[in-house]
Amino acid sequence: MSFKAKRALVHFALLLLTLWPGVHIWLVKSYGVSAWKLAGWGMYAVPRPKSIGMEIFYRQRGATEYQRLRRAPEAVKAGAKNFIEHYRWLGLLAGPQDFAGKLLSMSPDWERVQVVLFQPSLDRGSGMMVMREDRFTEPSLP
Amino acid sequence: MSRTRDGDSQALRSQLHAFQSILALVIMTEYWSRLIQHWHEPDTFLVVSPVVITGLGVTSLTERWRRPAFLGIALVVGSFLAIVFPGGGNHEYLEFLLCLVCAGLDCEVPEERLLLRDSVRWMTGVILFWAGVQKLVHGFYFNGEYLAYSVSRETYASVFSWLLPAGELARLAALDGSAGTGPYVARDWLFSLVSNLTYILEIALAPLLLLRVTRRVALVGVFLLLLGIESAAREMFFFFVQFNMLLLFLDGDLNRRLIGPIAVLLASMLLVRMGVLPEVTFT
Repeated sequence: MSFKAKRALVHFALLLLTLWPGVHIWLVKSYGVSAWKLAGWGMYAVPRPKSIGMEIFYRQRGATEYQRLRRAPEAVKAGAKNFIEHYRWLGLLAGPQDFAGKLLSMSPDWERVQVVLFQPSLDRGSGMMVMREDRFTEPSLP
Repeated sequence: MSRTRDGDSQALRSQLHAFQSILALVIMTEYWSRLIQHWHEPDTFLVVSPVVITGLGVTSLTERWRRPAFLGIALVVGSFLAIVFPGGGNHEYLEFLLCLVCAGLDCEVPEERLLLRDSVRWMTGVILFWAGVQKLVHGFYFNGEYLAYSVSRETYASVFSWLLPAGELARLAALDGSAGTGPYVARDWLFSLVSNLTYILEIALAPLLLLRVTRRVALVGVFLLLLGIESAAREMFFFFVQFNMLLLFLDGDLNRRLIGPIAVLLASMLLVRMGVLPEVTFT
């Protein structure tokens, strides 16, 4: 590769590196993506939650109300742990489809599942820790 | 004139070789440290990657195989980032990019070594600038909220003990970060000043670092800032990667003389991980 081509490639990569954090900030603000990861250089910019909780609700075929899953099988726990890790850093961009699909395939009488995640979040106005809640419903179409 | 330029170019070559050696050393130490830390739950990648990276790191010392070795290290680091995605640390992305640059540009070609140095310098400025902007736009530094929240971590508490009244320090240290706790605000002027200066300095020093006339002063400022942040945060691998990048802003090859001391510090970190040296908190 000629020096000219190398230089153009390096400059293009540096341009992407320079612009990406701006996109990253937008993702953090719009989708709750963590400022800490994904090369946006936002480490130490926001408090990192120490714990994330999850609850799973399901609706049986023909029913109108959701019920809370009280005892999760081991296979569900492993999937939940993986999904929580994705949610921790990707926020609303963490796709629940795989995890929800696994839940639905394990219980054929379930029509829909709701995965609710909550984590402490620092409220800038009051300086108090509040609980942030995000709800994913699968399948998402009615 | 041409002799001087050639001399400068040879100094830069030596400086870049030292930069690459330190980079390889830091990455090697990090992968061994990770293996020691997770020894009780080993997996194939965890065990194999430090061995491979060490082999590649040693190979990178040879002129002929330096660039392929860095391409290899980039592949290992890239694989790690893919495996742990999205949980990889920012410094690991940085290591990946630096290895790619070292693999792509040849230090033996004068114009490529200049491009390599300038690329690393630009990356340093970009990271510093955006780190400050992120703190500014998220707004957790105006009243010291982020730092107040961090006091519950022992390493932060020890650093802030000289900034906060004992009562306030004890109050914040007792908060556990759960919902309903707070307020995570310290109404102390010095604490607020330090909090606000953090992002102001990051944003202001980045362009000053890239300008020739202000470079030296900015370099001292950035080094002190980095030292201040990491004395509390203790992200030592990030510190070494950034410190190594900062050394490329100097004109001479001081970094060559620092390889030994840095290697000793990195080895000490491994000995801490192994429990041979007393425990010190770092990530």
